[in-house]
Amino acid sequence: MSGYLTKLVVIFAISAVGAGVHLGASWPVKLKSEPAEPPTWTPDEDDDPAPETPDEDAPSDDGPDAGGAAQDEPSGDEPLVLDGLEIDLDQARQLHERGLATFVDARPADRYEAGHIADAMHITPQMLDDTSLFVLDVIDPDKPIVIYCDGGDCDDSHRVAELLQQLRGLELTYVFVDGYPAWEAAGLPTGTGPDPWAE
Amino acid sequence: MASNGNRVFEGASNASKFESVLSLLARIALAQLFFIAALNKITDPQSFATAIDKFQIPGFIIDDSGENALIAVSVYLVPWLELVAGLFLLAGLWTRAAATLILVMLAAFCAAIYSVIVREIEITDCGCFGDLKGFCREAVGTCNLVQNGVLAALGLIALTVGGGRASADALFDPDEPDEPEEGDTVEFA
Repeated sequence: MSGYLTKLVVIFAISAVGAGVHLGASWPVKLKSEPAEPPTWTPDEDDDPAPETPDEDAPSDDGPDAGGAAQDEPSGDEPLVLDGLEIDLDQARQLHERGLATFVDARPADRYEAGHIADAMHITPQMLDDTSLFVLDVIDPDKPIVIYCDGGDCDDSHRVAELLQQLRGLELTYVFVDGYPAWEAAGLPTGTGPDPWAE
Repeated sequence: MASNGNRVFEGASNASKFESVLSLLARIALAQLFFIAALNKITDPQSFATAIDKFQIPGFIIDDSGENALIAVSVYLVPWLELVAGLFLLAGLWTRAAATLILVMLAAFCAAIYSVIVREIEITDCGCFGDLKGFCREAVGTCNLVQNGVLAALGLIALTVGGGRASADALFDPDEPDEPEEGDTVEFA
């Protein structure tokens, strides 16, 4: 029995040495990675698409950046400046209403299909394991990308932002921290069903 | 006990041969999975730390400053345990001790998964195999328990049978209980 315990201890000790060396080489340890803060972004005159006829009663869900996101610019909005990684509900609303950004839902597929921000694409951290993911090719790298999940402790939006930066060099990634619950509670346009861009 | 080094256990039944093959297959399968899991965690500790944090186990939650000593230790120790225990298991060296460590880890993983199910926390990725998906592609739940149960069954085979004939234990470690007991007839070819 003592021989058995000795073997256990030796295996554990070898592992501890390996872990210790690895830990030493990685010092200082940073447990939580955050995507780099994107550069400050303000819309150019050319960024605002010509307003299309809005259909307020039936929010469309025709695909990313489709006409449903382009409506008349609401009056009384503060000038839109994105400074920092995280944006709030009002900034997300302005970007959506003016069709200035690509929205990305980072939640699991069943949650996305049950309800998402109108025109949002569906990209989860797990989907980004496949770096040849088709939908990444249709993202406009010159437009802000707004990523959200369920708000609160949900971390998937940050993870997707980080991966989009790392894998595709997309700098204009922003995390809508309040997430879908806040969007839905504000009565803003939503859609249901699978992502039209998904293959 | 003259020997040319090739030992054959006389009287070994078909069952013991079968057990040896079973143990070898179980060891290879389990070691391979633990290698993959370990290497993915070792190469990306942050993802593993984030995965642990999502389980929201008291004491294992990263604070706003991004620090947690328990997670820091786990993030580095667990994958190395998986790797080293996997290596011992594959070689069939100290098989039972290695299998015991793996079973203890699997038990801890199962406890964490069960606590998530009970607390109804939705986690899309258990971090079990680093950034790679295991056999369970939906949110952490019963599938992960079954997956770990299958792995535990493989570990139990290695624990009960030992390394069998095709193992380093059979060559180097006479203390390992799967060697013939006193009184057994041993023939050296």
